[in-house]
Amino acid sequence: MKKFYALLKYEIYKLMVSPATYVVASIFTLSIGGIFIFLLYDYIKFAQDVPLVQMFFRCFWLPTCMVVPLLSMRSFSEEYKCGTFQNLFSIPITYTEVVLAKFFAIYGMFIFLWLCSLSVFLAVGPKSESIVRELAFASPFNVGGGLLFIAITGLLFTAIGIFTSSLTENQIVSCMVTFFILLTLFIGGQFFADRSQITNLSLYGTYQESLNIFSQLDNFCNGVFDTRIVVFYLSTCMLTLCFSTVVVQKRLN
Amino acid sequence: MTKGDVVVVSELTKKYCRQVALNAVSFSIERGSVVGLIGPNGAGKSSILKILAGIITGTSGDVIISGCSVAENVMRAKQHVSFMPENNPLPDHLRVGEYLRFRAELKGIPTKKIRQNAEKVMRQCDLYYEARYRMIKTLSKGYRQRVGIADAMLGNSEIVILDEPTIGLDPHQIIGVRKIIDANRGSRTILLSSHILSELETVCDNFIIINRGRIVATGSLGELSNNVQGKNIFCARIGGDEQTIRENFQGVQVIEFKRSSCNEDHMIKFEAAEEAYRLLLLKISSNRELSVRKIGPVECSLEEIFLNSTRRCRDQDNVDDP
Repeated sequence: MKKFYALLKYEIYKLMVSPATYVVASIFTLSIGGIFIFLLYDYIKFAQDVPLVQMFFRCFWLPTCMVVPLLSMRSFSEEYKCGTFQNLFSIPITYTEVVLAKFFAIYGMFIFLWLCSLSVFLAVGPKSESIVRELAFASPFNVGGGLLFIAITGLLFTAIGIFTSSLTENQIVSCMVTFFILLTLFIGGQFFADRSQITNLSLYGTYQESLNIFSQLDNFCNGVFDTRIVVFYLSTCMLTLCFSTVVVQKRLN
Repeated sequence: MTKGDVVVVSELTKKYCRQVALNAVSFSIERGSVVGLIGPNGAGKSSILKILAGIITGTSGDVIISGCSVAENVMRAKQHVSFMPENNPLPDHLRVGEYLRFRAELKGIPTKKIRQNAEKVMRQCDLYYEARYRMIKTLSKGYRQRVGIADAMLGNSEIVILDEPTIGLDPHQIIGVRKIIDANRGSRTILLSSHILSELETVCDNFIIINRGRIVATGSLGELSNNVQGKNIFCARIGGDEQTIRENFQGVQVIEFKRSSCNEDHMIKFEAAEEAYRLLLLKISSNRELSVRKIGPVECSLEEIFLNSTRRCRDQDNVDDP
């Protein structure tokens, strides 16, 4: 465990001293700010049936699709390219420890960025009109549920980023592949869910809940905590990390 | 295998897809010795070193390090080994001191001793005053190599494996590396791989020559020399009457007999069995008419041995695969 903490500390330090991390954080902050301003104008102009915070979380796919690939692309790819990877495994540490340390460092950064992003709601905080506040935050579940959902789905998205990074020593390739996988998960899930409603196919209908990320998000924001969703994301995350461990092991040999 | 062997490699084979990198390689390394692993490019040196360091696994065969089988318990075996890979890749974003402390932490050195250990190796490798706070990315090639060696020397691992430690270093730095190796001679087993044969000849006690994934020769310089020559050849420089010298050398086969150009001494190159050589030595040293300036076995240089061994191996391969 001591070695795992040492590795985790090293990975976090590596992220903190890298200028790329600050570029990613800036991109994230700008996109969050842009989305929020756009939604706020829309919200003020037209009547909405959902609170602002829920609408804001519905747009989480866009910053996620940008940030996760950019944060995770360097994790293994850079080590492969520089050759530090072999150096790392000359000491008694396991593949799992290395994969988990990289995973938690990136996941931690992802969550940290999202927590910081909530500061945009200070705009509709205590100093704004009470009616706006009421409309923006219909219930505490909106913020807590939305954030919890992002944290849960973030596990799988980060694991996908780690996995693609373990496949190649080219950071750009890793970034692009992660981006397209995440985009497929978001758009593909919505597409299949829509089709199941149109065609009423039972096969689609069965998996509709686990495929449509946006309907899951709405459930969480409305205070419906579905354990099946948690199990689904946790298990797929672990499976993806297992694959990453196998790939890392294979690449060394 | 003897009791004093710290590394025992038996029938080790490594295949990368269809390509055989190591073909049933077997050798052992004595505790506390400095061993040079030499071979042409692509001979399988780095594969052997990586398997010994536990980075990659062999396809078949076994490696036993300090009594631990690498195949059975790689984590335990790794605790006995420190490894500096070829080209010594280092993370650029850390300072030298930070990097060594991080490595010490990963190597399982107790928290209280990490700083002390890191400082000790930095002093040993001349990094303490000049490079302790410097970023690794700003270091010259020589300093980077020193950081790699310092990393390998961290902790109490019994075996230190250095893959091309002197590559790209200037003569002063090479002497520095030699000093570090000498300081650890006897207390640690050091396995070196290098293409600079003259350097290895100075530093190493024993040698392992590998070619095309097979061990072609092992032993000390003297043993390898005899092996290459196929017989015991000696050389003597003796002062005295030519006739008397020739009389004394009657029992052995003289290969070359010549008068030294600068003085009255005679240079004699001869072939003899160990027993005959001992008798001759007694005979000429007790003869008052002769003065023995120098006598001893003729040793080939490591370069000659290396070239001869690898050429012989190649010729054999050509015979096997017409």
